[in-house]
Amino acid sequence: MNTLKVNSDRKALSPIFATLIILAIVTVLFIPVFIWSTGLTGETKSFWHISGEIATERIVIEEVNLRGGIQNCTIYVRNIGKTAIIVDDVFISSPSNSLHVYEKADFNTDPDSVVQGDLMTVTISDLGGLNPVGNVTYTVQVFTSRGVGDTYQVVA
Amino acid sequence: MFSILIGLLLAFFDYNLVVFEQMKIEDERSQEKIVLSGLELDNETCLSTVSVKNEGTIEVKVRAIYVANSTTTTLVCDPSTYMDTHIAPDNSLNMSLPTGISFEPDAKIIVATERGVKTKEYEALLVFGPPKPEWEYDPTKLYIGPLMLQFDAFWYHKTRGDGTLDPNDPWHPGWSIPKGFGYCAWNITVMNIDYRNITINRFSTFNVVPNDSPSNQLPWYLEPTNQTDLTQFLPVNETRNILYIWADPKEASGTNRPQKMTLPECTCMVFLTFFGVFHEHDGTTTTYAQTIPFEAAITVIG
Repeated sequence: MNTLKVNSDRKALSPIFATLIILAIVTVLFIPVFIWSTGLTGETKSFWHISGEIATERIVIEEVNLRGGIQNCTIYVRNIGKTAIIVDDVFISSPSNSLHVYEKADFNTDPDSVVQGDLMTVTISDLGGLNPVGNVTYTVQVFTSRGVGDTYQVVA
Repeated sequence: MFSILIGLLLAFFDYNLVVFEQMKIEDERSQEKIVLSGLELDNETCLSTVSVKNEGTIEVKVRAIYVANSTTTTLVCDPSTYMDTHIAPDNSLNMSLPTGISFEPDAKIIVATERGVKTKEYEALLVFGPPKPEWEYDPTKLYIGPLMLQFDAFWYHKTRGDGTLDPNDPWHPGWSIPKGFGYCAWNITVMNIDYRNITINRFSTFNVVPNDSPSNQLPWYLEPTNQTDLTQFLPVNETRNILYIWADPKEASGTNRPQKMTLPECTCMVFLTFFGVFHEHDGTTTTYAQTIPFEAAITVIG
């Protein structure tokens, strides 16, 4: 009768090779986790960065030159925040609740971007459908590219 | 992994730092307050210098000067480009303006700081100061209100028991009256210096108040010129005499008794109280009341 003899001195794999295989498997498995976590971190850092920029973005409309019967408007905007700003939109609303929206292409800014403490002149050379009436109060709103804005009421 | 965590923490702390900085900016802005304190002209036609006082608790930097008149709002200059425009708290700064800016009394001059805080004022107020009262002190024209009293046209007259003037007694100057004079009437002269006509009613009085015993005051009520509605009409810019006879407000029934001078020898103050209405130019009426204290007292003599 044949009997199976187990030799306890023999090994299927050498310990070094086994360790290398384990390391290889762990490394391969960790690659997608690493890629995912790196992206997540980048997004999180980006979120904090943008939030910080928005938090430190602050503008003030200093004066508005809008007069009855005149078809242009000049808005003086001062940057009082830490972040450099770019003006993207101007809204002018009249007492009759009609809202006139002026996008970047509808006005000129001088300069294009201003840092803290500096003044930007926004010139709308053609108010389009808005015909300012004298002694009527208009509400002017200016918004930056990150959506930060300020409101000013002016009597035309 | 460790570096990722470090990166995340750094981003978070960076955000906190910028938010803190922005809060600091807002805090500083709330401490700013500037006031325009003066405006100088050269050759009386152009603006030359504007003075700004820092009434806040933090140093400010002036960054813009505007002029707004009825037709336009113009950015005149940024004075920080040609001079140091920092102003310490409680200090003032005179800033020269570019040449050629015309003085317009009705225009407003506006000054703004680097943090966007503004102040504005009319040019005329800054140059000439606040408006002064239109009238100068004139002791012959002491009045507060629409009726001006003529102090040198003031009389009394004896009346009968039914209030009619005694034909045997003349008008006496009103500054002194004998003790125990009995029933009497007072006649004063006023001018309506308002821009509206006035109608006074029967509750208007001539009050004599003894200096030594003010509680013993005696009122003489109006003798209305219009006996229908018991009023007296006082047209604009016209002088009228007002007669006071009665011990109580005149009744249409005519049952009033005249007031009697019963005061002992004394010196009295006189207060005129008027009640009525203004006739507005649109046809409506608004209530009117006025008190005129006499500058000189009357004396009851022995």
